[in-house]
Amino acid sequence: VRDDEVVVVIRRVFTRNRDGSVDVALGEVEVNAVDQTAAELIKELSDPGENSARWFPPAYADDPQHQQEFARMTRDDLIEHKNAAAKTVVDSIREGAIKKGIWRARLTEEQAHAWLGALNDARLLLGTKLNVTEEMEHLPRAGHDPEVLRYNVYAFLSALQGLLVEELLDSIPARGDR
Amino acid sequence: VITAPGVIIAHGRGDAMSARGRSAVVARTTTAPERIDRPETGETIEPDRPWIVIVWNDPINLMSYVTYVLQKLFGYSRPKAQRLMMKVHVEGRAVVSGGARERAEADCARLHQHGLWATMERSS
Repeated sequence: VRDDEVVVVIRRVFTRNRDGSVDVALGEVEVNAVDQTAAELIKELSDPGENSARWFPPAYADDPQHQQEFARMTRDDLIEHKNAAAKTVVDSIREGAIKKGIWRARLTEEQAHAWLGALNDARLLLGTKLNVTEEMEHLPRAGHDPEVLRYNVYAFLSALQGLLVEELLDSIPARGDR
Repeated sequence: VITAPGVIIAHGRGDAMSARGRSAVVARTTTAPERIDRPETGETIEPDRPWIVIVWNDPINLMSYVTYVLQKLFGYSRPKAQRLMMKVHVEGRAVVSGGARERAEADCARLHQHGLWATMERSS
């Protein structure tokens, strides 16, 4: 093995095990970013504002009366579902341990799906704040102003979610079209 | 929907664009029942037209994640879920399920739980 090959070894972030559990390995800075993101989710969920409008799309786009009823029936469940997922992320981060700058944990299958949901919720929130478009390149940018930092967190969460969904896609059995 | 950064969507692109896939999707959207004439009363009854559930394109959800959600919620096969995802991506919307009002509302709620932009309307 040549030296330069050793240097470019990329740590695998998510590894799905046969029993459905998922091993996670993140750098200290990365896991802190996820932890902070989950805390921000929980805060936003306690009093959802303008930036979280994307969490509550209307089912009836042209029917205010039915939409009002639909929102009344579903909104609390929706908030509770997202809150539970964010809390699962926070708890599972505490369950892991940091060794030599790398945080490692084993997520149950249920926890792994909660991570995926929370990552998506966070990206919907951040993406709305950043006003992202499909044409944007989701790569980290240079700079230190708050907008750039927020953007880099968004790009990081996108990459993280992409890796996790690839691990979980194969775990879903096709039940056949209903 | 967008491609996850640093992750290559390697499978299914060709299949997603196949003509067979498109016609299957179209068939699902054109299931409005016809008017039924009841001879005993001479009365014409228009049965409830079924509802369809539509997923709309958005710039945040990952392509792979949308495929995951459609597989998880509806039990669709990977190729079918990818076909629908690509339809959302390319055409801006796709009909992903349908049925009675209650069914459509429940599907919308589940899609919203997973962060997809879903609406429902009467099939035309």
